[in-house]
This record gives sequence, C-alpha cells and structure tokens, in this order.
Amino acid sequence: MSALPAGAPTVAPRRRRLAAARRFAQSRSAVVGAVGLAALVVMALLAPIVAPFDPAVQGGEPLLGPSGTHLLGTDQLGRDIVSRMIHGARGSLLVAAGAAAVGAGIGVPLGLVAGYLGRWADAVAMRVVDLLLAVPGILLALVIIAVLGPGRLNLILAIGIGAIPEFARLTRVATLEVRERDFVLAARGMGASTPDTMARTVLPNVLGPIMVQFVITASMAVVVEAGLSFLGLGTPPPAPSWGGMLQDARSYLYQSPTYGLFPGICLAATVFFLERIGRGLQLAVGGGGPRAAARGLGRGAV
Amino acid sequence: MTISPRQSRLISRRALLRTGLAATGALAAAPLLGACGSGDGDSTGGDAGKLTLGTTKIMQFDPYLTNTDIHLHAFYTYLVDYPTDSTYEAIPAGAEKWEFAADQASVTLTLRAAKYHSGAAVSAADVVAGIKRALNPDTAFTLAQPSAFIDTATAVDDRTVRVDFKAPTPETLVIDWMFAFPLIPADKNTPKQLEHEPAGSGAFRLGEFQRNQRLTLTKNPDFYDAGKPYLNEVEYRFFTDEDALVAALESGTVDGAAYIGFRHSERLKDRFTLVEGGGRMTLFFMNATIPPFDNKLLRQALARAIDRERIIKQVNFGIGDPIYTAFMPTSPAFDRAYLDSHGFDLDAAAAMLEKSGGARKATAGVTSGSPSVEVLQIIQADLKKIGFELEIAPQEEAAYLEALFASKLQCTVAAQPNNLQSPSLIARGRQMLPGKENTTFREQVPSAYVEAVAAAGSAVTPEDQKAAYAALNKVLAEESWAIGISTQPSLFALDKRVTGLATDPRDFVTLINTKA
Repeated sequence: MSALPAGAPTVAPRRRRLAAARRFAQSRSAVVGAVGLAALVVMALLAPIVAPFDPAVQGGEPLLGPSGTHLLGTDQLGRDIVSRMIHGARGSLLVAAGAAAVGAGIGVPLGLVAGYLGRWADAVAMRVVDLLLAVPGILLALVIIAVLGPGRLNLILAIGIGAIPEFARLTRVATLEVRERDFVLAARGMGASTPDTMARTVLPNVLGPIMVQFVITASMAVVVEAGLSFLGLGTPPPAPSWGGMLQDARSYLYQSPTYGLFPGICLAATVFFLERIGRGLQLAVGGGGPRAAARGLGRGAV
Repeated sequence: MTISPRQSRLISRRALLRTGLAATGALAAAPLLGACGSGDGDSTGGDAGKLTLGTTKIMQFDPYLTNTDIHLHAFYTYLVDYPTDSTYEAIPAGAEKWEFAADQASVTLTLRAAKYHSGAAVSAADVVAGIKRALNPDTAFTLAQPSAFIDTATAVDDRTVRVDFKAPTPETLVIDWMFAFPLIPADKNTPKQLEHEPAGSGAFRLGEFQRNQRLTLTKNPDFYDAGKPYLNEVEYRFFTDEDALVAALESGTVDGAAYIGFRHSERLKDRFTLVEGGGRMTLFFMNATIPPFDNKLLRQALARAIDRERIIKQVNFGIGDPIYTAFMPTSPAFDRAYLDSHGFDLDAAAAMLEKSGGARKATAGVTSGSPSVEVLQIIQADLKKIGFELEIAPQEEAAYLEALFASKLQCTVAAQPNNLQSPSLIARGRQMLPGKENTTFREQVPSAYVEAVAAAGSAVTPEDQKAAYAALNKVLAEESWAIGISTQPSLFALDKRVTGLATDPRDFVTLINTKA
C-alpha cells in the first residue's frame, strides 16, 4: 500500500470543523443532551463509588418503599433500587455504544467499498444489506439471542448486526457523492492506492453523517436493549438493566408502585439526550438529515 | 350577516375543537361502554348457572397426552375420584366398585351404568381398549408409567373388567392408576380423534372451542351423578398475559382467574375468594451427565445451599410448603426429617464444596420471565457466598424445553407433578426422573434408583412399603440430582358468588360442585 503523497487534501479544513462545533454549541437542546449524557456516563463510570449498595446483594426486606436507607426502596429480592438503577446505566450505555460500534464497524467499510468501487462490489454489498433489511430488527435480535444465548456481548452483536444496513447505505450514498470530487481525483492522480484513498481521503469526508447515524443507532439500541431485557432475554440476572427492572416492576406494580418509575425515567432521559445530540450533530454538519449532511460536508470539503 | 376572516378562523377553530372533543369522547366512551356491556351481558357474572373463567393455559383434549390441562376433568369420567382435600380416599366414579384378588395380582372393576356424551353406553370393551393404548408410551406418555404394572385386561361382561398385574401390586398404586384412567369410547380413543374434540362421559360436554380464544362447556344432562353439575354452562376465556387476566377479573369481565401467580394474592384476597389447589412441586435439578455436576459431592454440596424458607416467603408470597425429595407432604414417602438433616446450611455446603474439589461455576437454564428466575437468583446469591458462581441464562420457552430434553442444561429449576399416594410414580413422564433415558442421567440412571423405584412399586405390605420409601428417599438424597424446594399450589381468584370450585390432587379443576 502506498502512502498518500504529502499535500493531498485529506480532511475538511480545521475551521469548518470549528464552525460545526460552534453550530452544535449554539443549539441549546443539543447542549442539554450532551450535558445530560455526560452526566449519565459519569454516573455509570463511577457506579461502584456512587451507588450506596452492591446492586446484587439481597440485603433488605423485599418491596420496601422509599426510605432514608433505600432512597427508592427495594426490589422483590430486597436489592436497593437506586444502586441497581445506577449500575443499570452501565449496561444500557455499554450496549448502546457497543451496538452502534458493531453496526458502524461493519456497515461503514461495507458502504465505503460498495460506494467507491461500484460494479460487482456494490451489487454484492447491497444484496447483503437487502438481506439484513428483509428481517425486522427486533426479530433479528431475538433470533440472534435465541441462538447465541443471553449476555451483554451477545446483545451488542444482536443489536449491532441489525444496525449494519443503515450505516452501509448511508456511507455508500455519501461515498458516491464524494468519490468524484476533485480532491479525491487529485489524491488518486498523485498515486494514492485505492485502500489508501478510501481510508484517508473519502472516509474523513463522510464521517459527519456517520457520526449522526452513530448517535441515532445508540439511542435505538438503548430502547431495543430495554425491550429484550423486558422480555427476559437481555442482560442476565443478577446484573441490573433498566429494561429488566421495568419487567420486574410490572409484576409488582400494585405492591410497589414507585419501583418502575425511575428506571423508566432513566430510559426516557437517555433516549432524549441521545436524540438531542443527534439532532444537534445534524444541524452542525449540514442540516436537514444525515444524507443532506453528507452533501453539505462533501461541498465543504472542496 | 357578514363574517370577518378573523371570525371565520375562530369559528373553524371552535368547530375543530368541538369535533376533536366529540371524537375524543367517542374514543374514550367506546371501551367504557364495551366494558359495561361485557360486564352485564357477556360475562354473565350474575347469571345463575353460568361461570366464566379466565386462563392463560393452552388446552387440548387428549387425557393420555397431558397432565397439565385444567379442563379435562369436566369432559371425562375417571374410574375413581379423590377428594379435593388432598387425601386419597377413593370415591367411586366410572367404576362403582372394585375388588382386589387375595394375592394382589388382579383387580375386578364393575363399571357404573353410564353414557358417553354421544349417547353410547360405557362398556368394558372401552376400558380394555383404553388400557391397551395406555401401555404404549408413544401414544400415552402420561399414562404409560402409571399403567406399567398391568399385564392384561379382559372384559368379563359389558360392565365388568378384570385387570391382571405382572406381579402382586400395592392397592395404592392401582387406585392411583384408576384415578388417572379416563373412560373413552374405544372407537374414538386415538390421538387423532381426541386432538380437537373430547369424547368422554364427564359432567360437561363440549359447547364451542376457538383455539386461543374461548372454550365453552355445557351441562351433561346424562351425567351419572343425578342433579350435578349445578352449572349450566362454563366458559373459559384465554388470555396471553397474566396481568390482563387479573385485570379482567377485577373489571368483572370474568368470574374467576385460574392459575394466577402468587404475587396477586395479597391484592386480591379481600375482594375475591382465593382457592389454593393441590398444585405441583418445584425442584432444583442438576445434570449428572455433564460437568460440573457429574461430581456427586458437588451436587450434594449445592443441595445444602437452597434456602427454602426464603424462597417460599419472597417468591411464593408465603404460599406452599418446603420439600426435600420429590414428594408432596401428603405423600406416604414424604420424610420431613430430610429438611433438617439435609436442609439449608451454608457452612455445611461450603465444607462439602471444598471437599468435592469440583469446579466452582455452572450455568442454570430457565424460561425467561418465569418465577424460576427469582428462585435461581436466591440460590445464586447464596452460592456466591460460598464461592460458587452460578450464572443464570434465561431463554425463550421453546429453546429452553429443547435444551432440557436434549440434556444440554447444566442445571435448572422446574416443576414436577404430584406423585399421589404411589411414590413409584416419581419415575413417570419424560424428563428428569424416569428410570431410564432421563434428561439428567441419560442411559446411566443409577441402578440403586431404578431398584428403589421398582421396590416402591411392588411393596405390598405396610412394612415393606415403609422400607421401600425410605430406600427411595435415601438414594434420592445420596445422588442429589433432584432437590425439592417447595410445593407450588395452584391459585384461583374467584368472584365471591362462586362456590365449590376446587382442584383434585393432580391439580385438575373439578366443577361438579361449583355454583355461580
């Protein structure tokens, strides 16, 4: 593989990235989303310090209401709900980030190759994508969990595989637009190899919409993870998960009405924060949506 | 009169608001009106002689292929009945009398003069045909093991059958078989015939059956017990979700909710009549064919780490009794002493675990969303205290059952039916406790267990029975692959106007004395 010659225009100018960051910062709701998500991430990272009890220890009386010792009460096995909620954030955010990473990790190269090489590579890649699109995401995740068994890693794979088509199609569309740009032609003319051009010239110029899609996928993954945990097929016990807590709370709704309230709020808040960030990123990188953002960034790169 | 553009906009907004409110009102009122209609007419909760029961259980009509369907006793007359108070004093039903030979090698049954729903008379030939089917495990897996003591059956006359045994057999085992044996016309006694339509002589006939929606039973006017049943009609409504079923009970859509979870008991007990049925047993099974549970000492260690008291309190909401081996407290083989000598003791479990030298990690399979998940979480927390890591892998039910029957689960929590008054019936069925090819030992079922089951099934005198049951308990405790946790009574919540609903020892609903 030959290195890209010096002086080739590889990335968007720094000032355009700064302008995008400024636009993001000017969106109040995007900033709220970012701050909220950051708080959740910090809470998740510091869970062993922040949580008052071990989330798996069945130390209290079952189904206690909120009290000084247990701020939100205890669950059906006497575990502290606050501690389980805080530790539950780890699982939800890990699965969200992991699933989006799996989707992007496979979908982006697939779309890049399809869009840049075209012809048979495009046809093969898009048929693979069509195949994945033919199965509804939640059904695909259920089948994968049924085959692989429950567990966080399997959840990440199950949800991530379902996200591949979106990343692949988005990247392909953006690549089709960018590959004919002068700076790409220039890079090729200066002797850059095909893999090098794709990785160092095309990819950085389609990253904007991919970032937006990453956030959207993460927010979708939070919901799907909660759904699978609600069905009892997500994070295996005793590890806490918000969806699993909602499932338990549903069974004890009359005995402990507040049990399901806070995991539900956490879930809704996380999706809200991610959605706000996604919207802010859309506006920052071009406005209108991922595809429009791709066009906008493509223009900006020239 | 002229209308300004501003007025026009206001009028159209008002009209829109009116229309919106009307539509919203209609949407809100429709289900309410529907519910009212359902409560007054459809459910007929107040109608004399009709009962509407909600259930989440799937139904079929072949009594040779199921022991978990709640409606079967309504369609079929069995040779004898047992009282609903968990005792085993046989009550004449399809057989009005029975006489054992002095050598305990045969029994002569005299059938009651009764009619099937079709109008045909019950005959001895039907019993002979039924026994022939029952002896084939492929066509009668629930009856094959309880019928295994039978050698031949002969129709002496239209209403008399002589059943010869392979060897002298305890009366209790024969009576348990009679309790499990349904009367079905010989020409209809095939799985294909009974798949969609029952063919019995029980208290109720089939009215209408819409799979996964409703099952209607109508009173059989030719039922042998004159004047019974009291109800003219019973309707089972199917619910896919237990919470929806309980909500339907609370709204008056159904008169009773059958087989509901214990968690509802506290909330419903003041407004409804709660009826506890005989139920089943919950056991912790360890698969002795695969590591780490191929290590007997390890199995014995884990058996000491099951906190039955806490499981009954927190998972069963205080309902049920602790058990150690797979026998109900009403079984003659139930030995309470094992709960003390082999009961929950984490220190003893830790010492035995150390001695076993086995692995410290295993995975439990379980159906997702079932109460067994919570039982396993309690066991998991206790095992963690003694350094054993138990992972719980919830699965979708079909995948779980496939893994269970393929002997792929390391351990699980599962239910077992009541063994009535014959401890040898522990080995019936197809799962973890049969004497051969079971899912926890495959073809290596311990010979001591097989011999103990055989001895329990052939001990005739009280002394021999006592010794045989003790030996059976001993081998179960020694091999420690099936550890009893608790009884799991079935729970019904009924409108206070409903009386006389109960379950028999096999947990089938009996509606003969029910009034609504």
